[in-house]
Amino acid sequence: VRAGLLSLALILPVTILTLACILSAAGGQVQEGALIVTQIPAAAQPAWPGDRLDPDRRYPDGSRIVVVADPERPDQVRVLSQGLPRAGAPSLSFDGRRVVFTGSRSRQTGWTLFEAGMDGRRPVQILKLEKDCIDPAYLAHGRLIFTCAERGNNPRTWSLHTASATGQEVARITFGPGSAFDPTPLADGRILFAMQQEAGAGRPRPATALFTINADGTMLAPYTGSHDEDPWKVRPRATADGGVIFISAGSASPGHLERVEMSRPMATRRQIHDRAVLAAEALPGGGLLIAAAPESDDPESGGLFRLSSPDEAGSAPAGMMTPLMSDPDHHLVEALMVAVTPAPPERPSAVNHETDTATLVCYDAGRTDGRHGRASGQPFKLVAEMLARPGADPGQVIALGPVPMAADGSFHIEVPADRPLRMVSQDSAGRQTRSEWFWLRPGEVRACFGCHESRETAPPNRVVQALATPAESLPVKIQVATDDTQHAETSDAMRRAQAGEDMPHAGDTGDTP
Amino acid sequence: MTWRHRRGPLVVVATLALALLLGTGGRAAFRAHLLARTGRDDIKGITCLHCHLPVSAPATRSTADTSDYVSPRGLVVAPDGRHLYVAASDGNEILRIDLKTSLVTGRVAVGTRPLGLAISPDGSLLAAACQVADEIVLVATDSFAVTRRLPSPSGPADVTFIAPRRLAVTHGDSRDLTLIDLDGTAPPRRLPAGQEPFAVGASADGKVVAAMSRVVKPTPDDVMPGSLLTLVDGDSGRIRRQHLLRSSHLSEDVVVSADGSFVLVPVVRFRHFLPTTQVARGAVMTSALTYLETEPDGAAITFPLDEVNAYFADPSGLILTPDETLAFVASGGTDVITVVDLTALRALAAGLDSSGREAIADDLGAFHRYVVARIPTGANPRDLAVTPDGKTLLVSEHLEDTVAVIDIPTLAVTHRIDLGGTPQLSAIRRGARVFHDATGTFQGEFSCRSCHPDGHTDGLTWDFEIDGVGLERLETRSLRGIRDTAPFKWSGKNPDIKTQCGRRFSRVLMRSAPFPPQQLADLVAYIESLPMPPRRADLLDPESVERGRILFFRSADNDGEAIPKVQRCDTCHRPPLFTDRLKADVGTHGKFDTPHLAGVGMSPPYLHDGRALSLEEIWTIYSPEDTHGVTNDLDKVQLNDLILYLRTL
Repeated sequence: VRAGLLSLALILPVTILTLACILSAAGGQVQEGALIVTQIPAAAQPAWPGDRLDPDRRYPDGSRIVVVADPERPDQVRVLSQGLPRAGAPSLSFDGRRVVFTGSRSRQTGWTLFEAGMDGRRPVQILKLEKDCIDPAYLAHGRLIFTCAERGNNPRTWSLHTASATGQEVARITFGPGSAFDPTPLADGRILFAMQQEAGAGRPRPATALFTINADGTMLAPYTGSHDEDPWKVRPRATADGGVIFISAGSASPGHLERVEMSRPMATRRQIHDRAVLAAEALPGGGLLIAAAPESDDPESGGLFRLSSPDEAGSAPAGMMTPLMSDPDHHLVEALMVAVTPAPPERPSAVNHETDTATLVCYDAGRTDGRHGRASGQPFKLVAEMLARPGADPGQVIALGPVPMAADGSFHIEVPADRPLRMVSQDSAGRQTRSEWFWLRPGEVRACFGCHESRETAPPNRVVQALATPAESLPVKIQVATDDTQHAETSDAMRRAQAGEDMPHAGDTGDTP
Repeated sequence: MTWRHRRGPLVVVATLALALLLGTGGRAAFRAHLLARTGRDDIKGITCLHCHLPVSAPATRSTADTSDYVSPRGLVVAPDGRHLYVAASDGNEILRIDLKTSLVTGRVAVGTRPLGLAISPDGSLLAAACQVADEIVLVATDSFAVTRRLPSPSGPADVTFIAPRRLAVTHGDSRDLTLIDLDGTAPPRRLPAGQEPFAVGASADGKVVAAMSRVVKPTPDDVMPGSLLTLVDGDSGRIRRQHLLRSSHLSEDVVVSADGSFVLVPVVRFRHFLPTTQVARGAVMTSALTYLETEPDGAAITFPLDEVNAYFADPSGLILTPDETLAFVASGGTDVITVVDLTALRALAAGLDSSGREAIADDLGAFHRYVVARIPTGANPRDLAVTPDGKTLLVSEHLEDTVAVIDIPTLAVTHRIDLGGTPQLSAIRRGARVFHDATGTFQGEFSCRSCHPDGHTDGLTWDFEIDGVGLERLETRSLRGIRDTAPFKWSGKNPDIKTQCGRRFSRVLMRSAPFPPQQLADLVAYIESLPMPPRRADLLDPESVERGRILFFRSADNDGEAIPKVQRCDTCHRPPLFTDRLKADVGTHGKFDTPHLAGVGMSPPYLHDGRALSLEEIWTIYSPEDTHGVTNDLDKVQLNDLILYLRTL
């Protein structure tokens, strides 16, 4: 008996392990062509792009994520978000085996990230932050990017974060005053995302635009829509044929699908269909998978569609919407197709956490496109401003002081890292022009080629006078108070600026470094 | 290997034994030995093996066995369109291909490393520029046999017929364009053509000849360098015009229009004055096509080939369709042929004022006005040819051992011609692909080759972010013959090539993911295989060279005073590598790695920051206190002798 028990004790674990391996391997098969769909109850109203930062509105009770093997059988689905009363924003891993999504166990616990295997395993919560976190996407090596905001505050500022595949090593990577959201990886390793901007620079009111950033938060750069009026540009996605699609909308209106070309994102924006769209994803073989909103005269006209593209062989004519799936019991608000796709490269980080400053070099602050900034060729002065902390009221600006410019319009300064920064120029007629808010990460060395210059130009090869001397520090000591607010002590440069002392400007030589 | 190095192991054993026996006394003996051999007491962190491991002088031929590979370069199509001829730069042959069957129908051995290839107007004669063999080899097309070998010393790179019996040849090492009369009725005419003239082209009647230098002539810090375009009157053999293409280099082709009215040159636009804080938005370099009108005051306009988010690195071969409506540019780093609507480009050029001409060179949004297609190719496309009917484009896929055949009306690859190279890729061959591949950089901006053409140097200084921007510029060092010269970097911080090309390199320069381990190992194997260029001692006065050699190894100055050990040339530049692989202060504000001297005559500028534009300036300007060896006692002739000797290394 003892021998039998001993044998059983040995055989049982081995058998269980073997079965687990077999099941795991079976579950690991990629179900290429299947659809992953976010459903919300038919009684609910699908959210417009203006509700993008309100997950409670986007995903009402009963919203769920399902796998659809056959679009013609919408009643035969497998629920991926099982056990969760609210879920949405699915994103597929590059190997096609896992799905990360936003979910909520209850209204009290808020929104966090879950991961489910395509093999039917129950979702596992992978992030444990006391914040609401939504809209995840995979990066290289299973790392995650998503956007988070403090719970309860309203209005809230959302910022992008990254984490390891297991939800550890959480790091904030955006530090602007406006919300940053809807991150998606590009093939070159950058992150494309939407960010809110203040009014100005051609915008009569606040609006979102699309930006790129490295996965460590360095090299923030405008991508498209910076000077456009429409308040919302959301859900950017790269396509396989060298484009980026996104949804553009007014304050409280349905969204329409637009596209820019990666080769000239600033100059190629166009609407590609007039149908109201809730979400769109690139299809692996070309074309787009569209979640369309129901048309006003036909509540059941919504659903999933395939939008054919010009380079698809043998498909419907370019621009034609072909119905794929509808469900009388649900609105289908998001969908993507299961496929194996190449992972973007993991670019090395330029952040140095041993310092709390960064270096900003401008090759020629006088260089401008003459349309969105200061008039070209006018003398001007430049002042640096910052906010004490990310998400602070943009009205509470701290002057960092005059920027020391060399005669050729270049400057080379050291600035506080991870704080919203901007440059304000004032021309001889007293007209002020502000840059957008930006930030630099600790240890980052950023080069600007001009101020409001064309983003399609490379910098001319010339000697930069400001680089002849070390970076001039614009120091501000940030003090962290117990109530988690921060304030700044003025530096000498800042006091000079506040006292209204003369600021150096291009052409001055007396006060240049 | 010298006796001095054969005895190395014995010395090691003896020293170790001595150290064991004497302990602290051994260390003192070691320091005394170092002092005696180097004149320095500040050397730390080395062992006996630093000096006493057997090494040999850098090879002038690749250590790689490349004989199994073809590595096609120059292409020409016979005037009747029946045959394609291919210069096999590793196979050292010219291949003949029947364009109807796409089969190789003939091979003829020429000389080492044939690059440029030309065919006479009547199609009877081929001329191949054999760069390492120092020959122009003539091949009769009817017999497909070598008929003549013309000595062409100092590295012929390209050749073209400017008349049925007259050739124009570029020589990189002697920096000239040579006009050669095949009938011998006139002596060869040598014309200065900039730093490393590489490409040559001519109009249909041979009256307009253009030669393009590949690298820049070093300039002072505040002067914009550029490569030189030389226009020559083919009849008189006189230079008509020389135009400096500022901020441009690495041109490997030049095309003159049939009527001689314009010239097109693919260039790399470098931005070396700016710190390398980013590679995006063309901040380090971009690829472009320069259009130059040949009339005396004709404009030169540079049109970018890149896009805001995609780059097409290492533009190499260029060809036009016979009707000159399309131009094709091979991007060797990105494996792409860019198709340019030449009619649109010329119309755009005609409408630009002077400020527009300057601005468009940096306008990465301009491409959509003249680039009509991008055609993917095999590894490292380099040279191009078009059939006389204008219907077929042929591409030498240099590291693929194939020729791609592209149908011009549809701009699609129809098939590939296998040139017979071995399909097995050695580590060195794989490494060559990594070296020439720009996809390892963030958006394909540049490859290793973009700064190290043929493993050599671009002759520029760069401001790397790694040690703070604006503080120090560093000269690009040649990679030729560096296998045994560790450590690397001017700071001497990298113990091996693997470290040099590793994660840190990708972070501060390529701004992308590091090379995967296998690729990195292959890349190291390739770099270690890079040979030195051929010695040019035979071109120099042997007596002067010998006098220079004696000066290099002298131990007393002109007054008979003993030169301290630390100030003798051969102390730091110790044969056979001509480096002691230690850091030294030669009066340039710090200690820097002592570079080896093999091929030093071909790699200006000099000193770590490139401040010396020539070998002469090292001593005449930058060593007034004999901080870089005792040389102030030398008269002008002696200094020239010393420099001549250095140019033989």
